[in-house]
Amino acid sequence: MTIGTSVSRLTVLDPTVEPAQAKAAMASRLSSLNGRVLGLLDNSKHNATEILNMMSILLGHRFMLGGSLPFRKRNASVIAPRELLDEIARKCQVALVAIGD
Amino acid sequence: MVEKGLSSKQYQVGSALEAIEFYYEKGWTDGLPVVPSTAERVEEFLEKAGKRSQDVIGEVPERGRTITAEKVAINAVMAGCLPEYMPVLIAVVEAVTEKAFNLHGSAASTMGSAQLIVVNGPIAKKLGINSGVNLFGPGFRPNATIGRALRLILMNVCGAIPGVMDKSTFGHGGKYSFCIAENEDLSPWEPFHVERGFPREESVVTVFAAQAPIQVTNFIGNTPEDILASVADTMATVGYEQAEIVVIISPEHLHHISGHGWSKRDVKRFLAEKARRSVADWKRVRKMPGAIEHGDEDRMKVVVGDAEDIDVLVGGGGAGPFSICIPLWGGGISSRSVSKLIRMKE
Repeated sequence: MTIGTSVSRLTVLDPTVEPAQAKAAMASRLSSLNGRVLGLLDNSKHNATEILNMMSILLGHRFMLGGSLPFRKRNASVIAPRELLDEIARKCQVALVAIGD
Repeated sequence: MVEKGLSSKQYQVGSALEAIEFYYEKGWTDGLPVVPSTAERVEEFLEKAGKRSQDVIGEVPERGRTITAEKVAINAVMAGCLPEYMPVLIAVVEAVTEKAFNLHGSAASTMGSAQLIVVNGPIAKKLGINSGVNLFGPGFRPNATIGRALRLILMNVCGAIPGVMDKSTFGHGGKYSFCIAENEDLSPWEPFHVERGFPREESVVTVFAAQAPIQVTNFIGNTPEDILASVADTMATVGYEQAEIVVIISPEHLHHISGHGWSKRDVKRFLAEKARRSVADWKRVRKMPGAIEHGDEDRMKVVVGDAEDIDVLVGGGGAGPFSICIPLWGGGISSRSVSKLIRMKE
């Protein structure tokens, strides 16, 4: 077949894949942070700790937090290990995650 | 007619030219025209690979993506591959989807890596994968299309769309294709795949999450020390505490280095020792945080702590006093290079 001159129709295959849908639901929203323990998950990027600490202070001005706990994942480019996420869920009722670059 | 076992959605298009425009409209290209992926052609590719359409070649769990042999074949056709390239491409996809490679992170990052594919073993010559002149340039079908097929797979199957899940600030030309062979015939040293523990007679791919190659120019040196001093100097622009880095020695530089009786191990040791800067210098150019303190001018930080973490290969054209340094994404820490055996259809 010569490109551009043939009248035959081609059938071509889709090269793409749709992502598998994750089975996850949003956690219930809290009406207040009073008395809640705040988890701060540092993603190891520069200034992540500083930003999270500042956020913790600002939230502390608005709410009577039950405390804040720092956590850190060693590598910004790898998802947090399940054990780390489980620990945050055990010890905290709310969490802030640093995901900036 | 639906060919046996193929599950991908089909589209009726007109002529081949109309098909090429169709792919552009769908956003399925890398900006260059692609070859229409007909079922018949895809079946040919699967047969050459000895794979069934739904065989799983790799997964990217962070993205919820599964890469089947069918999708590899479709994108390989689009890239302009020949069917006989499929075993190489299958091994490449297996390699990049190993957890250690961290395809998700490396492909999304602002640092903008591409997947450098190095082919070793008999298949390189059999398929005509270039290891010589214009090593990273155009003109060689297997180099251009195997690397391109991987990039199309990343975009179309793994969602690495520029600006969407590929956030590279700059990226580089390797994001079109980044596939080479090592020049094993010319090298007096152990081929790279043999260093990695594979038998010489086997064919192997190694993938690296790589930044753009940095060319080292040295017209003056004709001893190993003089030549490699400039390679070390280039390495010292990259950063300290790299977990892995790639160096490619050209034939002209190799002539002087091995001609003086230096082994690959000698090269690695020299580079590991000489590629360094003072803490003050690292801080001065803001590659290290903090203010310069007393004593920093005398404290040294090496580029690579272990000589074995410098991957030394041989390649490039026969003329030209140049070599290459290729830094890896994230210093080779967040993504490790992976080598995979190329399995031929029995």
